[in-house]
Amino acid sequence: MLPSLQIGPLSIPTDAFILLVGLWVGLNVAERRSHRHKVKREVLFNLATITLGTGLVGARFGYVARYHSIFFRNPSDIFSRNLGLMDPNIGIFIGFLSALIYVQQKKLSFLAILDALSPAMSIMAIALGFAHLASGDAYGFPTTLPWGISLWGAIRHPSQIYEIMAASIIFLLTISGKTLISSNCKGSVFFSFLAMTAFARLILDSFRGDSQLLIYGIRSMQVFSWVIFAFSFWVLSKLRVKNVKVL
Amino acid sequence: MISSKYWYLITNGILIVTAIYIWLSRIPDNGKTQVGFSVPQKGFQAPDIKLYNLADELIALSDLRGNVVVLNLWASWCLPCRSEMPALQAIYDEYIQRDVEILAINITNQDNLDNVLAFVKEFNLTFPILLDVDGNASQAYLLNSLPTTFFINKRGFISDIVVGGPISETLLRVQVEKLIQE
Repeated sequence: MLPSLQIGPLSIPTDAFILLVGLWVGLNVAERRSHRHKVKREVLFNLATITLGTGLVGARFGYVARYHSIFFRNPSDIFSRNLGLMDPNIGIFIGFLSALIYVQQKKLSFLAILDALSPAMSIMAIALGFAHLASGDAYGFPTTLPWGISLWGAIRHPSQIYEIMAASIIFLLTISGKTLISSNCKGSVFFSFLAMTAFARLILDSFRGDSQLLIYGIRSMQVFSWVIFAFSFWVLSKLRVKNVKVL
Repeated sequence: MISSKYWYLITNGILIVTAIYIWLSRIPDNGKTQVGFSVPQKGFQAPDIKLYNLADELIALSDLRGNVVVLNLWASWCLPCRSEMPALQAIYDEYIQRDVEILAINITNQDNLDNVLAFVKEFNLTFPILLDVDGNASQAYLLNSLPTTFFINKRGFISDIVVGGPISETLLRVQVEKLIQE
């Protein structure tokens, strides 16, 4: 576990650094392979820049809007370097919305873009596992199994390692063109990736020790993953039958 | 390509099996898995520490149960620590009447007591400055980077951690307000 890198007076959160590297590698891989989905490299670059830029600004302004009365006392903190002053959910929403507007304005195929971005997303999923390993987040449930690791006062499932292994397998399947339906259908790569990721998350969350619970001890992330899994199957079913644009 | 009939059969079968898996893998008795461990991680009980302050009084974190605690680890030579001290003092002044306590633990085993005293005087700090002379507190809190700030709720559980700094006054205020209203 290495939560931060201390370089002189600078303290860099290791998890954020790993995610940035993952994003950079992922986008490079996606750009190199974008021609397979008839998407120009510049389009992916522009899309990533717009999504990230608006996502970051949206995350900060979402946070400011939520705690506006506190920000009124120190308005200069709107531009603070503190990453804690962000609302990630609003950021993701704004970033996604901006990407959607960009794709529609440029009259691009949304499904082809999603297919082209799938390798980047699967690399980000691997990076997320490494980020969790570095920070000690997403830790496992206590176990007596011989491969358990000592973390946070107990021998636990190495849930971060499981996460990296599952994401690596999904990455290999994604770049090798293995899809759950014919890979000629636009969207088949992305929705196969989404189905596999949701399935992996559904299974692996049962080994996590930090799960948020719904009722009767049911983990909320498993339920959310199941819904995404079912949605992916539904879209794949439509795609395999009609092979037409659905989004 | 498999026929539509088999496709729907297989996909629905997988969805039913995974739904059953969710039920079978639920946490028994709706239990929280973090209970019973005192470790410096979000969601866990904050490790207890007993340290002397500058007035030579022994202060224990566990004695502050019922208060929101902002636990800040710092050193006088650490530049971000210097930058965030006025914000910590402002929050202390504002919230002291509302059951909020700030504990600033100086990493004395890597600092100099004369410098600590000069630092406290320079910033007019009035909140408790605890001296980690033998490094036990920094070890208990797995200190990796200075400054590090832990936000601890009234029940003694860690609600958030900010590694590095300087932490802004706004972030401190948001975290403290959230914990007061918890």
